[in-house]
Amino acid sequence: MNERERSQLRALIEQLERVLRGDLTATPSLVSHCPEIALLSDLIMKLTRQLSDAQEFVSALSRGKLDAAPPQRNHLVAPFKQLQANLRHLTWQTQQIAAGDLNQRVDFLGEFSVAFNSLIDALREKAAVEAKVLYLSHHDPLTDLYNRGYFEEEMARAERGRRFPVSIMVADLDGLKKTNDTLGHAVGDRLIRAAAEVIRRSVRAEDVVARIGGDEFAVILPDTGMPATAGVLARLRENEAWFNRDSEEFQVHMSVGFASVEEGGSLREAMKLADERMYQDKFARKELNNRANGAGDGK
Amino acid sequence: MFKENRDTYRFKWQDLGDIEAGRPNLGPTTGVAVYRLMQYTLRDVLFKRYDPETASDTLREAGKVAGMEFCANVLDTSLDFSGFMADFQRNLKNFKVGILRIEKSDMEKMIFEMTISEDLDCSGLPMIEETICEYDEGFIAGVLRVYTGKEFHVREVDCWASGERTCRFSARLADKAAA
Repeated sequence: MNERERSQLRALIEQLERVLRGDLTATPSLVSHCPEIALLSDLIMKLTRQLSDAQEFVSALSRGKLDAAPPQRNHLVAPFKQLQANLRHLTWQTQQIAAGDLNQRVDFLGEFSVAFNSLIDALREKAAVEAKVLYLSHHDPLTDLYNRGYFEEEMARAERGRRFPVSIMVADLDGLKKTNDTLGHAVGDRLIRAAAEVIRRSVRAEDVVARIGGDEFAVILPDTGMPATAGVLARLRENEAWFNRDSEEFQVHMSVGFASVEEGGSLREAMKLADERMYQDKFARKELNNRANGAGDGK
Repeated sequence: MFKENRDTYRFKWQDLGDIEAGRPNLGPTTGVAVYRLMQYTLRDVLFKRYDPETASDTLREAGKVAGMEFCANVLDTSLDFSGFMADFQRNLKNFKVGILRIEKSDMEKMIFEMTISEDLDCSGLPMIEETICEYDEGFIAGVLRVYTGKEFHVREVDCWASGERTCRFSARLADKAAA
């Protein structure tokens, strides 16, 4: 090795020391007659460039620029590219969670995965509790029918809607007090559930069926006028008879009234009218019963 | 069903047979090396017999048939997109095909970007400065075809074999990709 080559080698050593200190300033390749020195110089130049590109990419990543383009064919950044892919996927997952998807799980970021998955579990639990509270606030726990509060909200909604004529049907369960007094409240509860089931089977899924009092039920029937509601009542009577034919414990008998309104009409008035008609039906049924039995106590 | 001439693809998931009954001792799994042995010798023959474009297209099309059957028989297509992708991700991991990550999804424009790491086809291959996962491209297009009912153009933009260490795929509607 001659003096010139020794000097070139020293220059390359200094260049490497600068790189190790973090100075990645590009330096041109050395022109050397010694092929090994020329190759070494070339490689140091490539290493410096790759380190510089890697530093730029990693620095962008550390600033949260997840869409930074990684340098091509640069093996130094391979683990950081993996990290970038993970973080971009995590970003996508977070967007899905924000949109309501609580089925996302993370299994690629060690301790963070555990924390993230716990957060999702907590959110899922919270969502389940909220759904339960919402359900309870709208439903009657004994029959699973809607409750009075929800029924009134729906009545107001139907009044504002466009599905006229709308009918309201009111049903009162006969003989509940007697059942409670003679057979006990547990049987009385089963009677209420049976009556709820008879009504539910008689209407469409889109109709709103509610238990609005101890032994009172009401139904909102959109797009249903008087003749069609009479058909619903006929179906209810069939289902009632069908139930009573097989029931040994108790019989379900309901007094029913209904009324319809066209667009612009008041559903509250229809409800009042249906209620009056239900009492007329109760009275008529009681009379019929009394005549058949000689005497009776009705409700 | 395996050897007669055909104008349309006839492969069905059931053609994989009753693996449990057929391999009571060895079981349903094998080594990655065996899979790659078949894929890369087949690739070698295809590239020798045909031009590179035809060979690549053949692999891509086979992947699409596989992806369609995989989606129809393994994945739950009734889920919404993010649920479906989570199911896809879970199954690719269970089958040890790779670790799928979604980076971007635009349901309106139907543009998706995803990465597969530890890919069955290529992770660990020697560097050849080229993307090599045409079969995966077809596989993803086949899965998306069955799920969305639309044809997708899927291209690998980064590959282990090209030195990128993670395979990245870009999927967009075929008619939009051609435009």
